[in-house]
Amino acid sequence: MVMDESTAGMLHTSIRGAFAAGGRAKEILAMIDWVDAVEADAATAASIYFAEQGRAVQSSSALDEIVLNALALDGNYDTVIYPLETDPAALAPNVDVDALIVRGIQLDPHGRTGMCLALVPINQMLHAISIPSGVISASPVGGFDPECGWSRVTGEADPGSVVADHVASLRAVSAARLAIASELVGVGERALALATAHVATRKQFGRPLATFATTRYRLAECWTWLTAAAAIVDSAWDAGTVEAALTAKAYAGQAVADVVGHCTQVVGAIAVTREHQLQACARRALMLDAFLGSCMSLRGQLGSSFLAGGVIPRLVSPEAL
Amino acid sequence: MLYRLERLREDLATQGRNDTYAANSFGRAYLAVSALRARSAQTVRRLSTSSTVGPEASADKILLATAEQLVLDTARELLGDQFIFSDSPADIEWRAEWQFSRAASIYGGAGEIQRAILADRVLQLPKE
Repeated sequence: MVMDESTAGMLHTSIRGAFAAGGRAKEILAMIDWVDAVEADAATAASIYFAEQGRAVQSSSALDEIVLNALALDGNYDTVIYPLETDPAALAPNVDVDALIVRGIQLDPHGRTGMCLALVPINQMLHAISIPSGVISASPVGGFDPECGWSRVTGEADPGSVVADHVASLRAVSAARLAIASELVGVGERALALATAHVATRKQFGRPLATFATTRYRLAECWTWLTAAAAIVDSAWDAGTVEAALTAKAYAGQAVADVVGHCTQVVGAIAVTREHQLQACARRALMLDAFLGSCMSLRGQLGSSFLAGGVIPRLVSPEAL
Repeated sequence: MLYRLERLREDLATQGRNDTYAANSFGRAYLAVSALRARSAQTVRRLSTSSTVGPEASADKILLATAEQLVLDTARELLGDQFIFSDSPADIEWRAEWQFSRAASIYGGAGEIQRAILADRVLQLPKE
């Protein structure tokens, strides 16, 4: 099912309004009935919600629903554990195992008591397994952006607990990558809005920074990259392939890193202080880029598969026009 | 532009070049082409539903110039000496295309003009 334009428009308005009014992600997700929205139209719901979550530089476990919906499993899972490493070349083989060590990221560990769905590498391929919350231990990720609220979890699972194979698991990871790509675009849009507002009023040499060509060109490029990133995400949902999702996540990660760099430069010294909102954008952008495959790693994966003779996909086919 | 990437891949296969650096550069060029394709598909769709395309279309031109130059620069860099010194018809063509790609950020409204249009009319920054 596809959400019609007016429903999508209303959903967008209410999410944006709620974040702008200072609402917390968790309450907003409950208000819009996130589970139903994802079930109705995961692509539209994800593109709208995650861009707004990014713009608000908030975090939540909304992504879990995207993964669970893509897997469409029987049974109830109340949380998802994401792999730390997704590059097939970096996944360690674990042949002949009695127990499966699960290491990963949980987006919001609070109040989880039921079953977890974990995406784990088995013999260098991602699989989905089920593992009870009781056997995992969690500690805050910290790192570059402690405010993201993520946890690092470890636990030991039964190797017989596989609930989805490699193909289905990659499909779920692809949906998650597209949602994260939208969130990255949102973070970039926030950075651009902050920079645009700053340079319009801040004066140097007697005139606003925004009247200097270098500032204008940089911000115009930021807008271009963010628009292109959003367009790739849309095309990738339509294409529905693993490569398309990889392309979208890689482009968005690269675009937003460049946007944050340009915005920081034009805003100047205040932008590199910890308390400035641009720094929160910079930190979140790096965390999201690293999650489920960084731009560097994904574009290397794409490139090596192409150089090895793999099909170079046309992200948009002429028929799609 | 994808056919150029396909040709580049054939040349690199002949050279036996498939190292990490080449893979990264190739992947980067592919991303730029994909960005262009995704964005211009949107613009074409908008045109076909008869809505007018406004100043936002300047982004398409910037993406075009970026992708074209990046693909040809990637070829120049990865093919190395062959690109610079070879007089085979195929390599002469690479060089001609590379030369032409230098103009991509100049013809049809230079890159600076496109950026100024976006700054003025999309971002609505105060004018220079």
